[in-house]
Amino acid sequence: MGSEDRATPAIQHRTAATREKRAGAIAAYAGTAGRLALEAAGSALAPRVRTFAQDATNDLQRALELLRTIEGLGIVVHGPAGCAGTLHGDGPAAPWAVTGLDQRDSIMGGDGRLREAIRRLHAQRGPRAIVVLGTPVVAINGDELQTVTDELSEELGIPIAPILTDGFRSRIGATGHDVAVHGLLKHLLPQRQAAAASRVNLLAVAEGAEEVQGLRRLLLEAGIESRTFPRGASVEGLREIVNAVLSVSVDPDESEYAGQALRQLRGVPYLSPPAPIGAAGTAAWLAAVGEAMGLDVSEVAARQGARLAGAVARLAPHAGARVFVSLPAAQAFAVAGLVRELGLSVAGIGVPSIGPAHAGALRAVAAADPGIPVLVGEGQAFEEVNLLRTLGAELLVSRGTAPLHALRLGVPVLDLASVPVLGFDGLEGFAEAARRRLANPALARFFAGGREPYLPGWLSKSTHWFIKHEVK
Amino acid sequence: MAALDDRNGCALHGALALLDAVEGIVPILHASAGCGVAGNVATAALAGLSASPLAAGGETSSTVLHEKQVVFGGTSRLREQIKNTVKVHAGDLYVVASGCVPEVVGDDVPAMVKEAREQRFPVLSLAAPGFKGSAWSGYALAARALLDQLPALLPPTAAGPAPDVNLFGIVPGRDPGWDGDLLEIEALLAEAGVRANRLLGWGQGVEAWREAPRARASVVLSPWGAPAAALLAERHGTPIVDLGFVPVGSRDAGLLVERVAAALALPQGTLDAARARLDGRLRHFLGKAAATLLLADVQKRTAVVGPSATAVGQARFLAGTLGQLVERVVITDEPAADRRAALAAAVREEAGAGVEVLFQACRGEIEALLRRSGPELVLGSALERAGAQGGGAALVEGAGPVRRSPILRRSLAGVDGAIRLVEEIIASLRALPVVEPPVERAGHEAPSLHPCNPVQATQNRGG
Repeated sequence: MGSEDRATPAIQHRTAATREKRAGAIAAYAGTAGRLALEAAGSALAPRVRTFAQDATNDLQRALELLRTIEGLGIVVHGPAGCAGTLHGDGPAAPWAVTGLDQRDSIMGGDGRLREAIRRLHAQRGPRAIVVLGTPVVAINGDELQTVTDELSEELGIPIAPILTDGFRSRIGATGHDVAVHGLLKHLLPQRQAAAASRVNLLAVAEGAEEVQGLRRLLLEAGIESRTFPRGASVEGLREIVNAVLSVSVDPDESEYAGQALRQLRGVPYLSPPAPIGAAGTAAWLAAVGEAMGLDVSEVAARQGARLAGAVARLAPHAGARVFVSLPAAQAFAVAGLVRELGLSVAGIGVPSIGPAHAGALRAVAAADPGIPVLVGEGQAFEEVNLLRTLGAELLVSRGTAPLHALRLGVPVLDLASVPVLGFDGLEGFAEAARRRLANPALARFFAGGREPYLPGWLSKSTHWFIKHEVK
Repeated sequence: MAALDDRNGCALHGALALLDAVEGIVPILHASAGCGVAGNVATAALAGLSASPLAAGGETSSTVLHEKQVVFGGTSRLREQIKNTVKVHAGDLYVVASGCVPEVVGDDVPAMVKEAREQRFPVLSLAAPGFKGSAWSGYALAARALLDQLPALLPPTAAGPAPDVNLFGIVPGRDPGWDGDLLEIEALLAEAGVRANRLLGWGQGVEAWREAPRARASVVLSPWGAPAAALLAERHGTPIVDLGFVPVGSRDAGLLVERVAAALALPQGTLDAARARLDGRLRHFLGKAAATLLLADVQKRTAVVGPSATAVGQARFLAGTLGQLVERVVITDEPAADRRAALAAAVREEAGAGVEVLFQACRGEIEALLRRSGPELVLGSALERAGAQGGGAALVEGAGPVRRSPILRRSLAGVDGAIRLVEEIIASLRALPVVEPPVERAGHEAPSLHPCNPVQATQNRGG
């Protein structure tokens, strides 16, 4: 099955397929890059499960994190109050409400509460469109969200879209990105009318606002106007998305669903070059966009690339420092390249999930060092601790994930949620942040003096101890 | 009721926050993915700390129930998770906390816990589905469940001195300053020589819970502490000192000491000396602010918004000691109907019979109320910022969520907390935008909290 077929969004379906189904992704593996590359080269990757696990984000939380960045959009979480807890966390202050289902509603259904929540949010905060997200209790009870959203949309005169998150269908939280995009596209995006002359969609999903703005500036320098979708779009801006001349991925994994859906359903061509990370990666990304737009961008790339020599030179005292890269797969392989570009070495790679689309990248990593460890799983700190203890890593690169377990091992953390990595600017910022952490790892050393919450028995076992092939 | 920007969370989050606040307890979450994440994000965010969903797994053992377990049940998955958790996580006590999914599909959690206990693993369980109530009620049910089940597993030792009192009702996660609040209450009781068993936070482990039945009294500092105290009263006849709110300032600190002294039959001299020291301490530090308070005319028409524990104590301090004109108190944690009259009476006792006491959790309603009533000073959460600033009022973040300054140890409870609160009030009033005088009066100095404008301050620093 080709990647295009795999990625086909079935908009007529109620919601997006899981990442496991759509991209053949697996969420558990611990071993070497060589073995995984071999497996990926053959048939599909074998699904695995953990017999011990730690809590991690679900599709609802990923969808919320993304949808709250759309300006003018109101959010209703249909479930017990705690299901909306992440909306208190970092991110734009979107108007939101939770239906707060109680014990009776969990049996009898909560349509009445949903109507009340939508009306209240509309009356008190005036969003220009509303999304209603499902939760495990609602999914188990089979509450039909769309009946209510259709009815209230008509009553209130604004678009209201059901987003069919459920919290248990997928083991990969990022499925929530696809479910959110599916709901937006199905219910809020109009039909394409005419392509704007030179405007492209920058399909940002899991990136930081600052680094996406940096990419927009880079495109503008090359004469290309852009809008971001879905992250950082506005309710009104959604109309412009369908009329862009081209959609471009930022992270090929995360952008894929939106890109393919816009291509197939609204006719917007989709371009998916590797992530714009590192000097070579960014130049290649820009060149691919330029070529698709019929523009020569080589001068821009040369001008931007010329100023980066100093960034590499400043890291010279730390040449060869061992870096563990723990990021979503497409970013992880690109950042591993950047790490080498900067004269550092890759101690290991951790990804939340991985699929056949990464077979090539895995082969490349394995070709250089087949024994390099690869850990697949989101939020499984116990495994990362087990592995990191043996690697002698001097720096961990992550994006928004918990840092404490690494700090406890004395490993400083570079978090891309606060250090933009995309584009030429990102290379400079990343290099400087890495230099600072390697130059003074005092905070990590301080935490390393504390108590390890894991038992010696576990820490002496193989990292893959609790990972088993799934019995269907 | 559906709530905008719900601040009260769900029962599972309250229970998990309590379990996380006891050293040596390892929670085993029996739920679908993300239930712990949402609770951890809320806990961090309510205290003004960075909180990304990806970073908030909390290294919490969880069955992470998948579609298959939703359809066929998750009991065997729980058996597997318990068996492996005791091999991975170091702990003195393992507590299974089950969320919405297993409660809806009907997993037999007690059977799995019984199995583990038969293999001599120290495991308890509590059912805390999110739909059962708020995080406040989750704290209440978890505290009661621990006290109920622990003695069968780890009976009190009778070794060493018993604690004088247990502290119940300060809720980890929801009260953003809970850790510091407990330390403040412990410190003020120590003035009378009373040894408090905080049960939660820094240095509090399973032993603290194990010894709780030996305490001579239970102190209840919010409605949510009452069920745990009631259990000890039923089982052990432990007397209850039910203040119902967290004391702020020396008057209420003294009141708490007085009530505890009565329960423990402490000598009058001990009580008097403790009260005098608490009072003297507040006078000493508040004295430094006397001129500032008077010159700045810090006597404001005030609204207090927050949960029972903090709003009542703050309102009483503001009205009864600082002389603020407390007009409205909005209690946001939805306490049981039979507790509401006592909370309102406690406010009115200090703030006057005319003060309006409301029970309301919805941000939208509270914001509208603040805009309508136009107070000059609001003690509330960051959710009240728009409502306060809409009417030109200063906002002091005295309840969660806070945004202005993160809380690690800070407390607004007790005497030192009251001093901190006064510092915050003065700072917030100073931060109000300066209203420019009309042009024709520009040469006249208006009385103001701003000793110099920002331009002058910059010049001074530069020179």
